[in-house]
Amino acid sequence: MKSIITTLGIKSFLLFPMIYLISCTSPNQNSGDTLVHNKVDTVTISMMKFNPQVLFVHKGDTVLWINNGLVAHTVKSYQDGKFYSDTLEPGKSWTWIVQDSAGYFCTIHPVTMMGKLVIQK
Amino acid sequence: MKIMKSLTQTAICLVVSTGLISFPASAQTQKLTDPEIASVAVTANKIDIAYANIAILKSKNAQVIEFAKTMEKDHQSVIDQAVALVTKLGVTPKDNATSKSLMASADKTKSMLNSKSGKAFDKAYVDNEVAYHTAVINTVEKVLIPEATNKELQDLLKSAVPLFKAHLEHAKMVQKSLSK
Repeated sequence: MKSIITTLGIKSFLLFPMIYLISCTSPNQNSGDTLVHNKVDTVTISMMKFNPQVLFVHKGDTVLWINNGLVAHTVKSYQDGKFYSDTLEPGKSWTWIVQDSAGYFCTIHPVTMMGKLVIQK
Repeated sequence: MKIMKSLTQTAICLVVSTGLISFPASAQTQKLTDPEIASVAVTANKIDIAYANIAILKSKNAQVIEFAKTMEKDHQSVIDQAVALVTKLGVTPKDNATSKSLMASADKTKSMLNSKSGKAFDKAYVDNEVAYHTAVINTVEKVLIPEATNKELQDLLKSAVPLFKAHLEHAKMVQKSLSK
């Protein structure tokens, strides 16, 4: 009896991390037919540019902006109220979950620094 | 090769001296050491912060004030990183003919700016920013980067060039807006 319980305990112990790993690496399937990707895409800020300047994403993806530049920057959508980061000092980052396509810019350097998020169907 | 270098340096002096800033010809003919390059870089950034502080105090134009605040913050960030780097490298920035001439030229420009007010001040400040950034970009690209021997110092100077070019474009946009 004790042996059976021990065996079941070990199997559960091994099985749980496997199920957890599978659920984390596969795209989630919602109640409809649409795949929800929920991946993280990175935009690096360096040499006074957003890299890449145009990022193709899926709805629900997270975009991570990392400031690897010399000075502080911001990330603000051209459309008011959609998204606006805090001031990102060098070395800091900010994330946003994308719901639709949007153009954005740095409010500190508005003349030269702009980017775009494009939703892929 | 020496003739080419001399011609290039003469050209830089000509380009630079067209603005309200001048880098001395005597300093351009001698190769700068890394401590001297660090001093020139820090001095050039400090000067633009001084101009920005005058603009923040004197201007009533929101666009000019916003631009000046960006100059103040960005150039301070460059100074902070330059100081952090020279501290790490154990280099002490060394005054030289170029940095001294920059300070002397800046004193004249500050007097000129302080003597103006209203729209005349805004125009003088922004015109100077266009000339100053043009001169600094030329000097960083054609003198400081080629003459720096430490790779980290060279990399810091290289990464500052796109920042100064963005400032130049911003200044030109404000200049265009003021001329309407």
